[in-house]
Amino acid sequence: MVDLFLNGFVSVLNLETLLIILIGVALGLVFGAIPGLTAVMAIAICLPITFGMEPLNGMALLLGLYIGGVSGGFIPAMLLNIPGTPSSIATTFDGYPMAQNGEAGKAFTLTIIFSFLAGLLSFAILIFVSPLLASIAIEFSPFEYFAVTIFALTMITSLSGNSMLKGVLAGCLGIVLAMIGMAPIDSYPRFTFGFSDLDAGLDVLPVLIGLFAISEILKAAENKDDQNKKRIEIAYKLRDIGISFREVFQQKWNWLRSTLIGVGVGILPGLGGSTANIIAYATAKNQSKTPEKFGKGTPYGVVATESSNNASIGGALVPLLSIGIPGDGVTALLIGGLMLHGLNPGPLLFEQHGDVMYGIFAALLIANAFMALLLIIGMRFFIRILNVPQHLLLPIIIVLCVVGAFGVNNRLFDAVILVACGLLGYVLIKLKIPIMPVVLAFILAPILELNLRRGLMHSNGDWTPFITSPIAFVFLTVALISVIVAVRNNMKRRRIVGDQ
Amino acid sequence: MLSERRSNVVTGLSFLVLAVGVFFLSINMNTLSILSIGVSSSFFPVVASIIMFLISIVLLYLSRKQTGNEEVASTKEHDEGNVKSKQVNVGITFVLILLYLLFLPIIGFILATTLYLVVQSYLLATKEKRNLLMFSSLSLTASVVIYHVFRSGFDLMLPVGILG
Repeated sequence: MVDLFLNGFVSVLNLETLLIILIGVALGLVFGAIPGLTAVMAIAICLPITFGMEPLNGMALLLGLYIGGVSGGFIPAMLLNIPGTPSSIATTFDGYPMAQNGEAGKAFTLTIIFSFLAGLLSFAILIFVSPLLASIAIEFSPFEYFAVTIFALTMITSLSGNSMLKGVLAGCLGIVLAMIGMAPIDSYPRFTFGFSDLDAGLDVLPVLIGLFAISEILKAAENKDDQNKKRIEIAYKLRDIGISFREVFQQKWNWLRSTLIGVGVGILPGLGGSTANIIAYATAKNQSKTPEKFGKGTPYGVVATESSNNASIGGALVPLLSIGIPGDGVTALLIGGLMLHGLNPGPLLFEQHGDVMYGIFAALLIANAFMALLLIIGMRFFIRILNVPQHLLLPIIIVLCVVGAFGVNNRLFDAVILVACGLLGYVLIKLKIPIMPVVLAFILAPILELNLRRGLMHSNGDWTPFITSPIAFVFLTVALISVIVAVRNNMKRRRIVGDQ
Repeated sequence: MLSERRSNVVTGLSFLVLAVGVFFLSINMNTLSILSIGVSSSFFPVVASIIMFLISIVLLYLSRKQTGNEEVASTKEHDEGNVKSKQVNVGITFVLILLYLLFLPIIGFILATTLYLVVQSYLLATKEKRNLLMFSSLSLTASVVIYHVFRSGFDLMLPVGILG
């Protein structure tokens, strides 16, 4: 394994790849720092660009964007009290008060140090765990894959926000969208209405970019006046950057706990940095001897959230690289990135493309270091980005989305799908229907259907192997339990809201 | 934003229609009998449509019990004119993107993009920030840069149109 890892480093340590990682991280930081733009959007826009690159370079760019996008969110969270990405929501709780107390520099330095360390630990866990998990998953038959995918689908319940019913409806919508085009195995054209363009189904890229990016831009168009009002000149001077070794050292348990929470939450399909940072913050507060200081600008709150969101990156990549199951929007896009280069995500990746996999690990570690370096050097530049007017930025992003969708198959039809999905996403936002379940179901439904039908062909139409296989049984049971728990929690919450 | 109740009613009704449509489109799908294993191409769409149908009914039933009080409160927060002007913005943005896609293959990427960027920026900017000269020069620069980066950098054949 050490050999493979060293080979991975050798394949990344050339000027071209390093430059690509650097650009990826820098661009990711910019996207993370601008409220409304997220890592998902950055990756969605850049995905088509990677088509012309070597597989490793393409993935290096996307992972750089991912790390940068998650990391950059703390800047507006601390300075403007607006989280740049959902992964930095809890950063506003203590980061903003710290900045108000004149400790912006200190908060920034702590964030950079602990984001870096959390990334390092989470990638170490990823590097050791995913090949192990892949060696188990390689034995999976369609029955086990079906059960794992069902388990991943039940995570929709935790992604549904306030209304679980709407979450499930959104999931069904995702399934219906995924059914458009030729069916697996018998190639029956479903819901194509005679349009040959629809035969191959909806491409995952325009659907994702439309749902995530275009819908957000339509929402921004709606709020143009409010947003311009919010934009205030940032006159923070980053004095007081230096912190003592003792101040860093006393965060060690807080950091370790938050990092492990981040990795754990990241591994679970359906959850990511946006959930991890809030859980880590709440845990840090509960474990603290001085919980009353939380919310008033304690470094413990900042370290907890910013460690956990970076740690969730390594966690989220575990199921993606070892089993081929995406956990959230970003990893769904990364699957698209792998497929663009003919790399089929799943346990076979380590056997067939071990060089690329270990190259990806090396790229992650380098991107993590670049993230810290860029933030230290370019702090003032990233702060200034917050002042770029949205009316200039958003139209250019729309054009980039159109170009990206067009580039998938070199046809305008995908751009039309992009806009249609953008409108759909906007309507869903207006109806308070969560978008994430649509995406998760859209990605998972074809995997589910293929493995169900394959499994049944293996067993001549007999359903019992889905339960008699021990691994499948465990996953189906866990899926059932997680649904029951989620329904119970949801009802409890509704009752509390009702009482109030 | 719509009130909770109204959003539930609209959601329930739209998904009800979708469920019925998907169901009737799916039941007639035929699979080759040689591949018959009890689960045909229609299985997943039919299951999804039945779940959608049942949940929409539950959602509509639950929203019947919700009171209209919050509706009054939430409409009071925004004055109606404001809401309308916001929706007009979204509508125009959407139509602009569609027009952009329509003209892209006819007049080519650079021209269509420049025009689109100017009009869209003008629409999104507040009155005091509208500066046509600056918007035009920025838009032209952006579209030329994007065109050349993708055309020569990534070999993407963007439409050339009448300029080509």
